[in-house]
Amino acid sequence: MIRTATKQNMTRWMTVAGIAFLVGLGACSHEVGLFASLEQEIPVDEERGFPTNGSIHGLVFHETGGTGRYFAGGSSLWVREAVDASETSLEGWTRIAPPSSGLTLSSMALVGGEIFAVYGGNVYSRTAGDQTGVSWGNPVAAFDTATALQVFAVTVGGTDTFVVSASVEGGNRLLDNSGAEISGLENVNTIYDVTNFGDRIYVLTNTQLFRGAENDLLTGMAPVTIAGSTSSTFRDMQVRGDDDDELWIAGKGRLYWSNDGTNWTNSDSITPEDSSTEVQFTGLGFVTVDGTEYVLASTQANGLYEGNDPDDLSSLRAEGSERTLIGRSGNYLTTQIAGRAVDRIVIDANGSARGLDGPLVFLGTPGRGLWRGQQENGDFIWRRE
Amino acid sequence: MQHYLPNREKRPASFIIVSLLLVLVASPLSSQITDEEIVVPQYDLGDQFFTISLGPMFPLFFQNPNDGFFNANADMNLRAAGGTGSLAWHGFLNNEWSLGGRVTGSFMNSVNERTLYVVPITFEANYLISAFPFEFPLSVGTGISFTGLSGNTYVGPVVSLGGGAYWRYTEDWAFGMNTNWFWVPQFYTNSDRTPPPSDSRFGNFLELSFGARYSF
Repeated sequence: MIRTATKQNMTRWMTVAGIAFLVGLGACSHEVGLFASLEQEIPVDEERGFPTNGSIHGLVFHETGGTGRYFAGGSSLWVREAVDASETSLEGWTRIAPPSSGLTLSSMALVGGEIFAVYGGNVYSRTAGDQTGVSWGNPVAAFDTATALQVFAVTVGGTDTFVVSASVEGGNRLLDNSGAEISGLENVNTIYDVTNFGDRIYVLTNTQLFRGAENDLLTGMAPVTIAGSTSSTFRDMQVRGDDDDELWIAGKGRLYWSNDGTNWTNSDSITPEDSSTEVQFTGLGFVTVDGTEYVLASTQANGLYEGNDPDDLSSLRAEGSERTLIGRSGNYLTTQIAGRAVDRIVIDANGSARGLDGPLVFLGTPGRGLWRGQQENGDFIWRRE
Repeated sequence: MQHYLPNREKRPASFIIVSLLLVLVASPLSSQITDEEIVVPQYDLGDQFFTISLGPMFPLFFQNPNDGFFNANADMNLRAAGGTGSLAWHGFLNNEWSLGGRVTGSFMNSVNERTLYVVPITFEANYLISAFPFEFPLSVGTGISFTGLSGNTYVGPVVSLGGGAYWRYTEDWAFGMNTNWFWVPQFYTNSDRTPPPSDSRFGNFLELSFGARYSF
């Protein structure tokens, strides 16, 4: 009897476990049927000579004399002309040789018509007004100590300049273009961004936001408290609006914004459906399509999030149905970036110069190259450069 | 299982003799060869065999139940062929029929280098046609299939039909080829957590593989 009961229990338990296993797996949510997704797929690789498996950490645009150029930074610096986006003959990318062979690019910025780049811990510069015919020259003397980590473009008092994060005496510091240390930022964590908002300089590390005095880069840098950000891991900072209306920050599980740099609002905590860990946002972009402004937020491992009202981030949702840029109507969900890591979002708002009604959206990915999204026949189509 | 092949130590010579027998089996000369007695193999209840197979997997077409079940769409946006491998075990009921299971793992890349994984786990009924030293297994199977694409998984039913041709190399080992047709339905219903019913598709895939079979 005991054996019979045990066997019945065992059978019942195994049946329940089997059903639970199948239901659990079958319940894995996805937005497009797997086979249907394959049917919708269109080839995305454009064969422009750009590394499709590259890790892209920077992208800047330069317009001069009616010519636009994109500069993309991965392990090398690449350039291509920004031509008609519906081009029939694809404009190819050209690799710009490093200052010395074997050097790897680690950071880049566009400052007043010049590209500043960090190679091997040194800062080099060249004009952005030429494709490949200009050499880098010698390292910028102020940083000729192989300690530079990243270079950031920033406007101070109406003047475009650059700052450099560097590893000095065992800690991260921020230096101005003459190599002078910016006070109040001794031994900070990794610096992710520097920007001007409301004539004050903001410096974002992965754990803290700092703010300087008005129109003053060198003094007065002090921590800013962002409500609700106790466990935040900050990654990106963007200014929204033509009149510098808001400063936005991408953190862990939340986006934060402020219109004065002092009072901050944050989105609800966002956790992917199939995870118990908050999503790590890595980048931000604001893009207007057909008169509607969207906020795009990239993540470390969960693709993109889209909100159709930056003033109401309850609309911020993961890629999927009923999204405009990352939904079923275009091809985003059938690409290799859906649900994956995206590091950077960069908007080229000058779509009219590229023969488009709307903007171009670029995504820099770790290991999956540079992607470009644009409206085509009413749908938002993504292709890999 | 009856022992019907000569001693393995004599394989090279035996191989030649068996080959000659094959060639001459329909010849009047065959009646003159009498030094080896060939016994038609017989399987009994309890005899078993394992099969391992490797080869290409070919995507054939999708069927859309919402758009005419028999309107096959061969534009699957998958590369012409992927790869597949399987492990199977069968136990004989009698000389012809055996029952068992098969685990198949296969992958195919899309035009955008997304990888589609199809992993059917099937219960199989196998009917064996013997024409010594060749054997032709015919199989029908059903079970569940795990399908993966871009980090998403679907678990659903699968039906397979297959056939093969094997040559008995030794008493224990046989080598040959398999072909298996996998019909992999993906049903979606009205649910917030799944794609819409219009995304339902039935995938059709063809395995063509080399197999090694061990009988015991």
